[in-house]
Amino acid sequence: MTHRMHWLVPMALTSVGSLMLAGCGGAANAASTSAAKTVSLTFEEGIQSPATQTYLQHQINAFEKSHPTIHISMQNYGAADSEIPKLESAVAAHDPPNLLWIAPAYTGQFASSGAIVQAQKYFKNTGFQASSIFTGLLNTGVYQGKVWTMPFDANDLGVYYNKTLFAKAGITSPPTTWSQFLTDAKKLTTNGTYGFEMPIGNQEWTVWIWETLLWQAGGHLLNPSRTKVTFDSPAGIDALNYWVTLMKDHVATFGPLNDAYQLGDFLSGKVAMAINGPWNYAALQQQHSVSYGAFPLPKDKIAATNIGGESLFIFNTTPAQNKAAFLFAKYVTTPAFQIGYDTGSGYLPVSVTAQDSPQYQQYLKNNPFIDVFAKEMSVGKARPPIPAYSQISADIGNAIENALYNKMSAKAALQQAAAQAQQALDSNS
Amino acid sequence: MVGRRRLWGWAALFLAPAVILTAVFFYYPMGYILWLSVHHWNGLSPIKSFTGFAEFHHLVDESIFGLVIRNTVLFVIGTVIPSIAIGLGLALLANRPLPLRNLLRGISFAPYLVSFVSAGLAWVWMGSSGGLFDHLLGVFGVHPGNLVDDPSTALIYVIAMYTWKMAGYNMVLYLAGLQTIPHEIYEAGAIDGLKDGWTQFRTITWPMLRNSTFFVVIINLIFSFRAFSAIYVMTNGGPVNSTTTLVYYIWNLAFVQNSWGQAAAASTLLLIVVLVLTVGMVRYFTKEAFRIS
Repeated sequence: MTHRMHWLVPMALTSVGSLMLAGCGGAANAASTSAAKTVSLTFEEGIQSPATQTYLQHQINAFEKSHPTIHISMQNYGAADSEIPKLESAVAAHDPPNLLWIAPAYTGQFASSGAIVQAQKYFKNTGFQASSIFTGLLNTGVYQGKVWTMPFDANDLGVYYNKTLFAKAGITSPPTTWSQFLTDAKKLTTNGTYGFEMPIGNQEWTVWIWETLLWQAGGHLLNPSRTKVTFDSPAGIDALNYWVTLMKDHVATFGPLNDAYQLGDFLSGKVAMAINGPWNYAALQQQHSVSYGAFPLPKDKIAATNIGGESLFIFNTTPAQNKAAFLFAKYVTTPAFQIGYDTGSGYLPVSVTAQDSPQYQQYLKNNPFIDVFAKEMSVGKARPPIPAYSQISADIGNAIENALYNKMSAKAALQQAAAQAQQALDSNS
Repeated sequence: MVGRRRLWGWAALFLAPAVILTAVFFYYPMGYILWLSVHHWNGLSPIKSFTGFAEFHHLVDESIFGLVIRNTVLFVIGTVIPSIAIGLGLALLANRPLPLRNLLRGISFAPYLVSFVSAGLAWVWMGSSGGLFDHLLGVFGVHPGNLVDDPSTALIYVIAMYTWKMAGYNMVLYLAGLQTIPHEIYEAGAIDGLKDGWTQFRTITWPMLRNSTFFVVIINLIFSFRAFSAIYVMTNGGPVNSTTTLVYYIWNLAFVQNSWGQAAAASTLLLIVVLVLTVGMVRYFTKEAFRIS
């Protein structure tokens, strides 16, 4: 018996150790659910401006006051591009946040995998009026006919321009068409200054901007039933060739690789025009080196911009947490939240009532820079929130780079990308 | 019999941590990758559908696959050979009774201690248009512009940065090897007429460094094949995928394109290549050892 016990000691120690390790996880889970009456939610966001974050925290405090059983803790994840890999790991480990602030283009990917909750399920019993949201924005979160993600804020793309350089070049009004844009870019290009900053790199920022040209030329990413990629159409080729021309004519220069949303080249006067969004308004107001303005993206056959902004994703956790998360998503769409948030951050409202309110209309009057982006929303289109979007985007990104670096013709590059994107679309359908 | 049992018990206790850790963090992920490489999975879905070797076919069919292989081969050759050669050269210098020997050792090893992220960012700034290299080369009338944004220079530039980082590490390994060579061998060689430095190096130092070289080659091959941070920080695999190596491509397939099956297929390919190369090296160096002794 004694000898047997000797043999058992090490085994018992190992087992106890394993149990202790396993116990760590159990203890943590128990702690998070121990306060039975309060529902705790984690909210991950990537808001860059400290002022906007502070405002959001105030709003969360107000929400908690009106919903005393819900507690929300905000966590900033930094850059959105690096959040997705982290999130995939969190979902795989069954430890996602309750609420996530990110582009709705990821809706299909998360919805098809069952990681998120269908927001529409809560519309009826919480009295949420879907009609209070701009239809175009609500559609960015639609997957297989149902609303999965809730719009949080909106934005789109326009052109920033340097008023001083425009005056020097004798340009009195901003260009409205592709050909005028090219002519003006030529006029603006002098020693050390380029007319336009060309986005470069094969990641989403470049692709997101290029899609506006595709639409302006009359093209589409996919056919209406979303079963066939169509961006290699003559319109797509025209759109890519237009960028190639800007580079070949030496009136545009590449921005930082995959980072052309940064303001460095625009503020240093290296470029006179750059495509960007309304979210930099606060930063632009704080600098004094450039007299800036914005104008709508020039049109070709039609006018178009790409609707961006973020939505709230509700990750599937407990029923109580899912519902509490939806209540916050609903609160975010109220005019009170939207007006305060948007006038402070430069984002655009997602709610019709907020947009039409006298307060917000007065704000637009006083801030013509934002007014440009607000008006452009009427010609806004959105990326299809399908599961294969990330792969399709990567293929388009490669095509843009191949054409802009003269490795392939625009036509050949787009055809090659379309063949691969079609494969991705087929294997995800 | 009883003592033997007791011994087994204690052996199990002491082996358990290593066995469990290796199984959980090495063999399980490796097996899982092999399993995943014959499945289609988007990284999130609960469904992983069996596709046989379709993921391997898709991988090879990708238009950039050839470029990825070319970049990987160039990166591995371009980093392993120069960083070993420079490391050996530095070790030979630092092994001599020079006045500033410790300073030389310190300066050479310092780059290895800096993280790839910090070093990568510093090199991006130094290689931008108007950056340090642009200024330095400008003295000779050459203006390379932005070295990182140009598809013809980006890979060479990343290779240069990686070599700069690894040379000091190789120096330390060789320095350790050099200090194990008994001085008597050089004295005996001198008596036999081996007096000039090159002959001494060729006939004594290099053969005596065989074990160090074996280790240095293997470790550098493995490091270079799996280099990721430098590329991620400096170029994101661009421009025009000119710096996309196999490991970066695996990351891109998995985390950007959500093609986990293809990413696992590429990982399996990498595993096979590294395994074949390592086994080849082991056999080569073992044979060499027998031939020389």
